[in-house]
Amino acid sequence: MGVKYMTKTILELDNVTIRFGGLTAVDSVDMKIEEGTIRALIGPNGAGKSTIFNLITGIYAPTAGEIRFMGNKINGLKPHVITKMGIARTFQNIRLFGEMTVLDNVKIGMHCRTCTGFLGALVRSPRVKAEERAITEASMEALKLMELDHKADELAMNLPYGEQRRLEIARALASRPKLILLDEPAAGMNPQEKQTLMSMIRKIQAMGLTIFLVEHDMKFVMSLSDRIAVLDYGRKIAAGSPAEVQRNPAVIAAYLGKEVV
Amino acid sequence: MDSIFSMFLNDYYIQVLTMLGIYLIGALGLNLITGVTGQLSFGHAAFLSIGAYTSAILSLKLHTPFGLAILAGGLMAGLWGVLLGYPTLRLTGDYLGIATLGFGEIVRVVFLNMTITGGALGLAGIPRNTTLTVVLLVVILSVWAMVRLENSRFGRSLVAIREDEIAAEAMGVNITTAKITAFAIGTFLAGISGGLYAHLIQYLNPSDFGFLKSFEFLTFIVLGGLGSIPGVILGTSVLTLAPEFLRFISDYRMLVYGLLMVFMMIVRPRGLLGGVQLRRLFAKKNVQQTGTSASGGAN
Repeated sequence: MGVKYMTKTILELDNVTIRFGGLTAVDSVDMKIEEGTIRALIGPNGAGKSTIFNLITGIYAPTAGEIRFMGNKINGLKPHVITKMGIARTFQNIRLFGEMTVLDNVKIGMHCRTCTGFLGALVRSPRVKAEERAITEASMEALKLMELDHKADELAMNLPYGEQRRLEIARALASRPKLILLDEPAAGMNPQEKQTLMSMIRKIQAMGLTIFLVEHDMKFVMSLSDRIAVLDYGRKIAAGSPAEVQRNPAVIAAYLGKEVV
Repeated sequence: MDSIFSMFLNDYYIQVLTMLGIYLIGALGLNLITGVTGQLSFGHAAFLSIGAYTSAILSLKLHTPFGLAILAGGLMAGLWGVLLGYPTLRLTGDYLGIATLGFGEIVRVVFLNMTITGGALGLAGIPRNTTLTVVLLVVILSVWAMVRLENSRFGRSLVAIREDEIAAEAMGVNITTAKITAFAIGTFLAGISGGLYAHLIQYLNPSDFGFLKSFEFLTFIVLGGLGSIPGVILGTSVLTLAPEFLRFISDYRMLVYGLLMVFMMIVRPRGLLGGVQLRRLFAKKNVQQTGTSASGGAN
């Protein structure tokens, strides 16, 4: 892979392993993600992709190895602390706050960037009101980016599937992350919705964010990502540019099975 | 104020309304814990009893001024709320329910065996300082506080915890702190409610604060609609006033409550006013008036 510019590593997985009882779900995975790039993580079902996301966001703590975000070790930190440091995520099986409005969902994303506690809520000083206005404005902006601003007052559970996925991204963006993890963002979308989503992700990249995504749709992954890592049975079996990964025999074997000669 | 009330209402109605207000304060507290934050509590009456006994003992033994005694009762209940909440709020759903149920029974048995509480004989001779005016003021203050909380950053984070704990945490909400804060506020209100009760009824007995009382509070908020302030007011009013006006079924009150719970779960699991929020009622009106999609800003 040709050296282009001096790029900064934003996220680094160093020999990361997690075992659940006898099962090694993620096995000594190394990875370096450069700032401002789109990185994809692919692999067959059960390869450990979502587990890696859960490790990065602090839902699980690795059994061994280290995860560094902008040079700081983050394994063992609580999820909300990691979010505050600048990592946001979406979920494979959509986890929206269904009974809350679309706008309120996004406002929760702003939670870690704001500070009013319950006493502030009671007093409602000018500072608190100003903060609430700022939250509303920033949340509307995130909604506009994902083209959901016209649905701001609807309940999240009433949105169609594709829009729910986009709302999750808007919510993640509201936390002003430096790195955003998208877990199967295109799942269940029709080709047109996928196109829209792709351009939205590019817009997010243009804002200076780093994107790390898990996705099964190969066309989507190949045309969007700068680099791809391939996971199989918890091990990283390949990494490189989309073209390199497509030619890699180990990848072909993992997806299609080994050729019987 | 009280003299104005007594011009229009006889003592009986004043007593009933005062009790309604007291229950409403406790129910608003439970609503914050169970309705808004989604943390099942079967031990709410225990926090009422902590507030009741604390304020009653302060009044009886130290002649503490009424307002101060009530406040102390609330703070004591809130403190125990935090002490119970810290280890148990990691539990979810049924497990939390069982833990709070256990706590409720422990508190009852402890009060039954303490000398300062008068044990099974109960605590009598508490000064009757609770008036309808006082209760009304506290109710208004509580409703006002709950509405403000509901529409704040803090309130949103509580609802987010109820809706999806993992997502809330991933979005940056410190769920342990948020849950404990909600528990502290909810149990504080229970303590206030208990203190007012003690200074109205003038007599406390641990058996008045058993599991059935906790269950009663749950029915108040389930009937009205979990998490909805208008719902809590409706549910508590219906279930407190109905037995008074329907004296003939008062013996079967708990039976009716139980049936009502079953019926509600089948017909309207989210309560009579489930999902109804004061703010959203107003927001809808704005949309119709201006004809545009209101983009938040409903402060």
